[in-house]
Amino acid sequence: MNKKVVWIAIGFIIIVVILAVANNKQSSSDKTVVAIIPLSGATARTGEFAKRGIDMAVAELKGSGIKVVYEDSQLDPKTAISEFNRYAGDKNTIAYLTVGSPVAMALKPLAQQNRTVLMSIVSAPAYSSLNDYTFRINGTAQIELKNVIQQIHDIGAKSLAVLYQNDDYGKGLLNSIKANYAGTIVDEEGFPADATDMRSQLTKVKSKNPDVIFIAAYSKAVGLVARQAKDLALRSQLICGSACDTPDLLSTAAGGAEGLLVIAPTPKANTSFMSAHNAAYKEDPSYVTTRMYDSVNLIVQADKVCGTNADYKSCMKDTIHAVKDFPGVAFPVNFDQNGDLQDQFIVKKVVNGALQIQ
Amino acid sequence: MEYLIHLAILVSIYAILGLSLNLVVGYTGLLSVTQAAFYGMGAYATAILLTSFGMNFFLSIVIGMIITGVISLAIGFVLSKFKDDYYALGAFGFNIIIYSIFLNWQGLTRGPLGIPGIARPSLFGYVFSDNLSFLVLTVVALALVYCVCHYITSSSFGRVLKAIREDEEAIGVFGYRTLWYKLAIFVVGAMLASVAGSFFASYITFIDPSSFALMESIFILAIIILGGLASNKGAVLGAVCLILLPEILRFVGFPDDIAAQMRQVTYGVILILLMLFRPQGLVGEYRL
Repeated sequence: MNKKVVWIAIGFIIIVVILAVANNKQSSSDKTVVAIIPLSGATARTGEFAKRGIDMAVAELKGSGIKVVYEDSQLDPKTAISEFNRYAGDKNTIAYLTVGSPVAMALKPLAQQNRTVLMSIVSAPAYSSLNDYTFRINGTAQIELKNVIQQIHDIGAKSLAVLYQNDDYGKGLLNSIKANYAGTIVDEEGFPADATDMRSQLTKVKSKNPDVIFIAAYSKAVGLVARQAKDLALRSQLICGSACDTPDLLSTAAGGAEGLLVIAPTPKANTSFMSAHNAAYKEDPSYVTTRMYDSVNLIVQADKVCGTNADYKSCMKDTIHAVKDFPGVAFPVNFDQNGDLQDQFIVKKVVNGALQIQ
Repeated sequence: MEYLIHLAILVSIYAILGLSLNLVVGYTGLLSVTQAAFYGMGAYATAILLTSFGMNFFLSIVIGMIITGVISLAIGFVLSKFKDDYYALGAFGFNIIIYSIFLNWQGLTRGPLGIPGIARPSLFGYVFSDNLSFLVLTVVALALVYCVCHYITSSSFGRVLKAIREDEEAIGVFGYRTLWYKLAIFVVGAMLASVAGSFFASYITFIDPSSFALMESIFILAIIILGGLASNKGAVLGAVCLILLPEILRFVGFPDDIAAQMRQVTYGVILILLMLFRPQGLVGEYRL
């Protein structure tokens, strides 16, 4: 039995080593951007949005000498680290793209250690640090909340309830709003990230009769909350943030989102991008799509600047940090000293089953 | 090379988890699905002690083991009231409770925001910052855990555990207080899982509750079932296979659009085939 154990283990190890070595030898002379995004599991839809943006950018890159490879993170830190390490030894790897806090936070120290740019859609506040290789390509919770609170004031609301998804995004926004909102929060109710029935929470919130309910959740959950709030004849104004600005919001709400305000991080994207996206995918782009599209273009732009630089990796980091009004698909892109995108928000409202800019 | 070192570290951590669970499931016949909770306790103990108190990693392992031992003793007492399928369901319940605590006790665990910036181990001024030195450390830990498990399972204590697995009433007739044996091995298994958690936290440098959900317990159970129940070598072999198999599948040239899904389907099919043709696991000597 001992021999059998050893041979099985050695067999597995040899296969992995051979495949890993063969994979390294196969690498072409193209520079590589590695997209470690969730392509399976509960967050696969977000990964799909990210892939669309990357695919669209790649389609315009022919002849640039840069390619993008996709790896499935499954939103699992150890899987993402495996993928990161697979490409870390390849001198052609110039940047990584990722989505989701658990993965981005696990890759952050590796990006620093390997001096390779990592651009992420991430909500964890601790992701930001001064002048390092990590870039946040979505707004921080603080910037998002500032816009949400402004909207609550503009409505003239006196009381607020918060309905939040119990994950890093929802809890992060809840903490921020509790710290920054000067008015009265009459109730806060959480629900699991995979919940589909929020009627219990809504019934409790309804009894407090708040002027506004802020829903800190992703688009599918917000759609369900809006639908169920309508069923319960809840009259409070519903507001949601950046993560609900995807095509899934209206399809999930199934007509129940009328009047919902979306504090959206993306003004209408430029016409050519919108046409190309809608022709390919038959729906409006998510902000994740536009951010990934911009990120690939930023990396390509930085590569053009740093192509012959002796310290290529450092140059890439510094060039991206220094971008000023880079022409993004929706608005000019700028980063602060921590590498956080200086995001811009607008207000959209669901009118006659469609999102309209206010 | 970094990639292979990373995989070796993961294999070592999961082999420790497999060995720890094998004591309970393989040798004693208690179908426990709580191992991810104990794994998480070790991880959170190390994460909190290192980030909030700047404690030494090795001391945090010991404290993590003590905390996990005390909690697992309480859980073991409750679970001892159940048998067979009910035991498994009870264990399921405890995993869910502990996971909910990780997720919702925000003051302690930071909830879904997780704990970032967990330091790598250091000993006498030497920091195990590079992956190769960390691998050496995890392999040493694995060797120690293996020796502990081997000692337990080949001792007279281990023989009583096997007897409990085969026929608890019969061994009771000979005057053995089976409750204490079951409790003792449950606590030892939990404490060893906590060691794996400490290494995991320090290696990944960031933890959040998602790494310790119920699915992780099922994955650890799959490791020992595939490797072979009641075999320490089987637990290590199961970890090697289940960690490396998905990596091998990454090199299979599925079309880009469906590659991620196809890998998971293929992984599942291979596991089903293995269970069909080797229900006792690769080197196991006991079937559930």
